[in-house]
Amino acid sequence: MSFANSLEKSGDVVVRLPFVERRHLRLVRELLTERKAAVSFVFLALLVFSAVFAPVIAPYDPTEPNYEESYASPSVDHPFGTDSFGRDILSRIIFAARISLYVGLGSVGFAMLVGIPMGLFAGYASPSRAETVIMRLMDALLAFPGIVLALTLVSILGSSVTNVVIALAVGYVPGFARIAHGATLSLKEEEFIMSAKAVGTPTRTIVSRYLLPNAAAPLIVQATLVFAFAILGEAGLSFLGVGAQPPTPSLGLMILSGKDYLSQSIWISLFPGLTIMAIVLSLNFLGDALRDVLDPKQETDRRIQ
Amino acid sequence: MDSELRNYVVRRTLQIPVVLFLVSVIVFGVIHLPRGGPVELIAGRATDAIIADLRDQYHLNEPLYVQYVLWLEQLARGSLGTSIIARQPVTSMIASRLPVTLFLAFSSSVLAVLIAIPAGYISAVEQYSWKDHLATILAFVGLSIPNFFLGVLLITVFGVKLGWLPITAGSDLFSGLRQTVEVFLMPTIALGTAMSAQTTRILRSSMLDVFSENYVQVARAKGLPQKVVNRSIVFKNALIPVITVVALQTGYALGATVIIEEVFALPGLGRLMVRSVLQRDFPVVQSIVLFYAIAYLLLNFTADILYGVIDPRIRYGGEAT
Repeated sequence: MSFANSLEKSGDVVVRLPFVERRHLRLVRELLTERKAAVSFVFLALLVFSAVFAPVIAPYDPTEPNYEESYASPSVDHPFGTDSFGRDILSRIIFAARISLYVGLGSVGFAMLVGIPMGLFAGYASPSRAETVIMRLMDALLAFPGIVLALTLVSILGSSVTNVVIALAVGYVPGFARIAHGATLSLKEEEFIMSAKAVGTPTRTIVSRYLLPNAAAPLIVQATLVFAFAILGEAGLSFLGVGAQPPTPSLGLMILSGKDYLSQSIWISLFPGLTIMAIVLSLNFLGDALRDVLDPKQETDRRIQ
Repeated sequence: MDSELRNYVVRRTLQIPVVLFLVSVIVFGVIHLPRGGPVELIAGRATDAIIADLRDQYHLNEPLYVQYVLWLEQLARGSLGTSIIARQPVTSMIASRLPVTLFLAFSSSVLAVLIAIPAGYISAVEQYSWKDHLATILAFVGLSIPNFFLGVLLITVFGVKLGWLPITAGSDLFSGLRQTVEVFLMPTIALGTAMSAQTTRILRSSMLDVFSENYVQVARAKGLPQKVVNRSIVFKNALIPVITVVALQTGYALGATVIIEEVFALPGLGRLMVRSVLQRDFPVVQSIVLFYAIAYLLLNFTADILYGVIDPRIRYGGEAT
């Protein structure tokens, strides 16, 4: 959306800023000057690309068994070897990346959509009974270790990838709500918010144009970290047998399936495991770099999941 | 105890019942709200008569709020109900498996601290040296490796290939020191690695923050030897966030035992939880989830109080977040 275009559209006095501004592009450039972040970004971009175009890119069918080629060690034909069904590990990883990204994006998106409005509302309505109820509820949700909560929810919702998304997301809601709440509490006292209120700006506009953009930095950093938690969480649930179901290629399930053949055919578990590590590492590097670029002083959720 | 601290402790303590109440509502709601109650989930594996029987036995035909109150009454009597599958009191099932889980969570926290303190200290004091780089690389590997994947790798290398350690736990885990160490060594490493990695990073960044404080400059300026400054001023002050993280991590470790016990076939609470989830044994699942939540809550509470005791500035902050 161009600047002039958006000006025309807004009939009122409020000047709308374009969604992507020049400073955003500068931020991206700054971010990518850090080598670790740049490498991580390229890796994740490649992963997203290969996940999206998996059917075209993957050299073999990810689910079709081919018993003649079972337990093949890494070779030119099968760079990462084959599993006990003779399926190409590389192809399965490419398809499994789809599940990982779907779970990551889905649960982060869900948690943000639920958590951020709750936190903003609680902060904006502070001090009030509504704030107390919301934030204590968040405390209560935080009292459940992530994997225990997710395991319980999946067992009730039923084992499927979509239910894994929901089960993980519920545990990530309090993190976003708390950050949004904290940011709103401190921003509310700032002069620019007070002035906006004083001239009668509608609350909706204050929240969407002033509060949210200024609280965005810690929320974005949190999103990258939670994305990594979600990928580890999905792998863990699938490893326990309550996540993705065979023959769906999921990284956790692939580690599980290779578990009993490790001493002869270590590649069955090794490459999916390394893929998880690479994704989590990249997200962490990207999160750290984002934190440095956006706001060096902010705090994120201290828990590991 | 000064009045400031006492107020802080009182305020935090008063929050606990509220959060506990909400926790109990969440646990109850998650188990009882879906599709006509928990035993419906067993349907398909049990006859209608058995289900009707179970509904009767577990008061599932009562309105939800009555069930909730009955459950609270039961909890107040110190009972967690009876397992549908094992037909045993849940209390004794949990009690017999608790030592394994607590020991595992404890040993991995200890391991994490034992590694993290020297690693984080050296990393900060000799910033950008090869030691710091090594510690950083190891910490990143430790943070990104899924604990169950590490567990599987450890079993393969030390259990199967080298044959140094037993692959599965025997029946009597605590019969002797040697046996306990052999059984718990790999699970402890699998669980403690990520924790030590995180603590190392926190200690490093916390010490680097303290280095730039004025009082450290003053201590240096008045001629205190660098070692004394590092150890008795920087390290001590940097420990505050570390203590919080360690307490939070012990809570994390409790939860993560669910996966680790499954990998190493340890007869703990986590393994009981996974099995009960798969068997839809709702009284057991409900009790274990409640137990984890309370344990986690108390650890968080301890962390907050410790934080307040160590760093008086925190108490002025009002609500601890």
